[in-house]
Amino acid sequence: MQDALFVQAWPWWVAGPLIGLYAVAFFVFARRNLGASSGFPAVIEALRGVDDPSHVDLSNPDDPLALPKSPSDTAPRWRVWWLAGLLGAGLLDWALGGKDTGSLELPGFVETFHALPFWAHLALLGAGGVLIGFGTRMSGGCTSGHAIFGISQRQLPSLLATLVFFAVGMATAFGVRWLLGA
Amino acid sequence: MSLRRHLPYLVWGLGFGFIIARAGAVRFDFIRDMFLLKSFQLYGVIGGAIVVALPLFWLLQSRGASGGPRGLHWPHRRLTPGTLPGAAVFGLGWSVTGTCPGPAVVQIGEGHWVALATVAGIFLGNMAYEEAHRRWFHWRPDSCA
Repeated sequence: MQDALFVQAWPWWVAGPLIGLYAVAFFVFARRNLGASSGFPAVIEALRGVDDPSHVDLSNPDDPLALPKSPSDTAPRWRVWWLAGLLGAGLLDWALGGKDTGSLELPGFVETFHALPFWAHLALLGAGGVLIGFGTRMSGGCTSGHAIFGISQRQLPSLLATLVFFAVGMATAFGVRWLLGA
Repeated sequence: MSLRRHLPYLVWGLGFGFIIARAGAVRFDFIRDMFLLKSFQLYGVIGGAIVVALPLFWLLQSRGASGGPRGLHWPHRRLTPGTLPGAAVFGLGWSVTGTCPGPAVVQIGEGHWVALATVAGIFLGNMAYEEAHRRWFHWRPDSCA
């Protein structure tokens, strides 16, 4: 029981619907959508001391981003706190004995890039991170904002974005495998 | 900034992070095998989330139109010139690192310290985009929420 809950990965038919319920519950609670990638600019703005991290002009009715008063408006740094929760969740997963936690490197990454030295692993992750940050801001969302919230709310731009990042991700994975001859 | 108003979001983050960690969505090998069509797990996770959330959101939306839950604002995503090229750039980074933005943070918590490089990169990428947008792109950015 403990092994199934805290060590092995949950089956998709448990985790998937749970994330779906989470998305709807979060929307009803916060009256707004979640996007993990938006947490990063929120942290940057918090460090800079910008007053309204979401850059939403609530007084301008023509701005499609101008939302009616929602609970999260009274918590302007909610994205930063939410991101901090993710860090805590990782610690919790580690503490409860989640499989393959606690290793310096990412499970599977070392096997895929075993031909490369450690510093190259760091460089790859750093460069990949730059692409993730740049791309998600340019696109206005990532797996959570576009794929989960966007598609579930029948937003065509999000569906198209999801198809594009899955297609490119797939092409990249096959390309890497071919290059490394694995 | 009030602690009382922000604390719930820390708990929401804990919940989301723990679910995606236990789903395997924070693991490089799971994401690689998803892209290589070797594993169905994460297609099931993302698909299962959509299958459950889509009808519920639809129901909320139609009830809201007839006087159901009040004050729910339905975001309207716009297709900007950056939506699809940005998604392509993200797809490349997602595949190389085996990490989307949320999981990168979870990985640090799990003790995979190399993910600090990924997260540092994400911050850099955000700042680079901000600068690039100011200089060259002339559309109004869309937002996640």
